[in-house]
Amino acid sequence: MIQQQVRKSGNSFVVTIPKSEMDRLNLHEGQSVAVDITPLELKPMIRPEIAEILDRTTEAAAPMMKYLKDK
Amino acid sequence: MFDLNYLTVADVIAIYDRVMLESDQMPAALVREDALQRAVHHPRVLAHYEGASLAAQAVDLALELALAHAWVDGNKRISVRSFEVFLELNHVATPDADRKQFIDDFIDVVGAKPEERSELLGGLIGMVQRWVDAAAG
Repeated sequence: MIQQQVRKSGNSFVVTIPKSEMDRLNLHEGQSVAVDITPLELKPMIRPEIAEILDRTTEAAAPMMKYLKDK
Repeated sequence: MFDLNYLTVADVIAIYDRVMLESDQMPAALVREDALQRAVHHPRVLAHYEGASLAAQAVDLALELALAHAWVDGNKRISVRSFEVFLELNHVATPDADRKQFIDDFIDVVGAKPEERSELLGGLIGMVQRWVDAAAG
């Protein structure tokens, strides 16, 4: 699956296919393709140093997270 | 001025998603991004204008996140988890033995009237300062 932004083109909107994807699928201009559009919400990734802290402390913090959830 | 490692808004959003998924819940909608930004940056403001200690900044971060109500659900959880991660980023661990006491006191602070908060906050900051002192050896 590729991720692209929807862009305005006149009164329509377009989504481009990167050349790398054209090459990978051996596509050519004028070829018919099926497109299945799924809206995406991008989320920030956890920085490695924060991921390390979360990995190391999640077990100890879990009972208190449950306690807070029930509050 | 303290040379501390701070959380960004993106960090807190990422931590929130993880906290919720670990609670077997889908992350709720972020409904007040502006309030989240203010809360995340508030400790730096305290440090700049009032010379707030690491302990005071950590407690401030937790309180501001809880009061911001940036998400539909899970605001106290992200407050406490971000508080802990902020301290860890600055090499201070939350002692297991103090966790429940901290959370109970923190909930009291969040629920207190604004005019009653400063005295309760002093107790919380004192508790966290002991952790900071222990980490400093």
